[in-house]
Amino acid sequence: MAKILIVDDDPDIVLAARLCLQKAGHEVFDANNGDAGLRLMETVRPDLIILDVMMSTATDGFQTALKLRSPDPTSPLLGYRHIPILMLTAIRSTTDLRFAPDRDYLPVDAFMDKPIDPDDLAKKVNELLTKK
Amino acid sequence: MKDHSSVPEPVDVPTSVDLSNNSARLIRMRWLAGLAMLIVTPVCVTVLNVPLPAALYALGIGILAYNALMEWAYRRQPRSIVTPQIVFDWLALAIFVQLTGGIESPAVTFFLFHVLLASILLSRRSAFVYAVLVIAVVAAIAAADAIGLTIHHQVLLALPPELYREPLFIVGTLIFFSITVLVTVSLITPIVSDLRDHERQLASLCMTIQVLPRSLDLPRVLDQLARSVTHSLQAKAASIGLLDETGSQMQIAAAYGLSQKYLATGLVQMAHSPIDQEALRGYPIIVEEATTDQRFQYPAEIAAEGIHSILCAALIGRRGPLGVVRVYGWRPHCFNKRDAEFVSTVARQGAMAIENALTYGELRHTDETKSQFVRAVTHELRSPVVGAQSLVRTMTHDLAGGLNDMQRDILKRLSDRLDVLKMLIDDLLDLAAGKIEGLQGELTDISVEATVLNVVDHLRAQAEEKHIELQVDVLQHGLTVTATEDGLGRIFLNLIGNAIKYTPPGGQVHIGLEQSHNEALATVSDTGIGIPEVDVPHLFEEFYRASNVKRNGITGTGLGLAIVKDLVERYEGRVSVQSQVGGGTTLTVVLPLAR
Repeated sequence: MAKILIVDDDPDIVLAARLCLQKAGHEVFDANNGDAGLRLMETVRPDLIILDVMMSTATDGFQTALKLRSPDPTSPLLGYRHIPILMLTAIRSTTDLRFAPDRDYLPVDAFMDKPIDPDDLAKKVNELLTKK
Repeated sequence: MKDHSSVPEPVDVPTSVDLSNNSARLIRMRWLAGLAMLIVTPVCVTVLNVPLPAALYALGIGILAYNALMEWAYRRQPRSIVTPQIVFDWLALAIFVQLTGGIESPAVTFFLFHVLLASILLSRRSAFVYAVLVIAVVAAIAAADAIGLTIHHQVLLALPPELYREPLFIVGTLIFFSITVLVTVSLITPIVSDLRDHERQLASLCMTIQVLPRSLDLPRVLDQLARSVTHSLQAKAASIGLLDETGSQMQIAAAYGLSQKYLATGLVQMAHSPIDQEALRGYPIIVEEATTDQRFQYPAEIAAEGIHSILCAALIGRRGPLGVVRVYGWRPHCFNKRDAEFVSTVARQGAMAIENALTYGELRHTDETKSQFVRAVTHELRSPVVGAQSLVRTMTHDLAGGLNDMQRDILKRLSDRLDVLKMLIDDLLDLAAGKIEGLQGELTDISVEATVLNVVDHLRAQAEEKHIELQVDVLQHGLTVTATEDGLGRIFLNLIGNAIKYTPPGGQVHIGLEQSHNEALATVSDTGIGIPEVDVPHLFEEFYRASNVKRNGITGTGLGLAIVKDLVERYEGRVSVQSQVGGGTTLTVVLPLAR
């Protein structure tokens, strides 16, 4: 069982992910924007973060991921750099072709296209948790 | 601002470059002069009984000798001989004149060659200095002969023997010679100067016509225009004022040669600037002395900048007046009527270029607005659908409690309809995005093979699920085309995706890639259901779906091939289809190879 933080502004997506992850035995927390998600880090100390790309702004998810992975020694989030991030994208299928996880491009560990497929999500989350 | 090399630079007053260009010709002429001296002298002496001194042979040999030296030096470094050859030629000519009778010598007129060359090649002032030097040298030769400093050689025996000592003759000859020389200079230099101005303006005009319309970047167009008029009129500065939308104010949009202080003067209120109002009527205006002219809004600033002459010409485009070009001179009476006509011509060209750049800017802005709209719509339309899809899936996966068969069937149908809706939104927005920006990204040279293999990898799982064999045959490696990465990927994703979709389980999809002339030729063939003949002509139309597809209940949006066609044509290629019902389909995409 792991603690998973979902950061997404769409309550339906949060609910779907929550149902799926709880079924798999995980403890689920959620926040509806990037800053709220970052504020929860201290209290929740999640084992995995699921981030939506586009929230209040088109780059909210990217910004949040960048803050979490910032190598800046003064960053208050320095202790959370190791937490795996799964990014939920609403990007069209063509773009997926080059949207493979790439540390240079974006500091996240994996991508998943919306809508959420319960089997795929459970599988991907397990992969990321065991890799860690 | 890059590429200022395309802006006409000032054509300088003739320099040693011009002289050195003429050096080769002078060397050739000097060979002839030296040889002529060696051949003509004995003929004159023996046949014509002219008592030429033997020293002329020495002079001839001397000329040939230093000319050989000049030629040698010229080959090594053309510019090195410019000054030495002038000195030697003067010396040789002075000796020649002295040996052939001094002031009586018919060769005195040879000095005019020097004066002519100087008038053409040097500035007006230098040409006059040169002329005075010529007169002084001739006077010195005459004086030296007259006072016996040099031996007088009387070669024209018909002349009175003491003529060269006759003051009246010497002074009279010198006066006429001086008048000839000075009049020559004063006649030729203005003509040469005019020709040079003309040449400079023509060169500048050519540049303006060639360069300006090519640029669609407004600041650059204006900057080039300001530089171009300044240089071609050899003025001190130029500015370009553009009218605002109401036409009541004008702002300096580009300037060349003006101080920051002057540029900070502020907006020109057209109501307070009669000069600009006059100029906008279409006729260029020459202001001979701006500091006392009442027609300017900022006379104090003009005086402080040291401006005296101003030439104003209107920039008038197809849609009406755009603004005013001003050219500034630091002295009064800098510009003439011809300058005004020139600036008017340049301004007409400039106005067109400015209009093009403005239109381009507006189009780009519209394009960006559209793209932003499409992106916003994408997000807004997709979010509820993917939310609904995600929720329905939790139910079909029994995450929200058990379902009976009826409920499961209804949810399955709901899920399918949502899937179609999402596909439709994706395709529709891809098509819209494609129409606007060619599917994200810049055109670059992209490997067709890598793109095809990438797409095949992406679709392999889907094909395996249907037990369809995916086969790729690359007959020509390394083919690249000019496209966007996403766009080219989309073309093959749609084509290969379709082939998999419309091929029954156990079938085959074959992808071929080869080169045909200067084009990349890609084929996607399947052993699928084929397309009825009546449907083929409509296949690439938006929302068109073949009749047998609908009957077979295969989901689709009817946009996939429309997107392919749109993209292929965007990359200057073509797409075609061969098909037979039950016999499979082959789609062929031909794209020009990247140069």
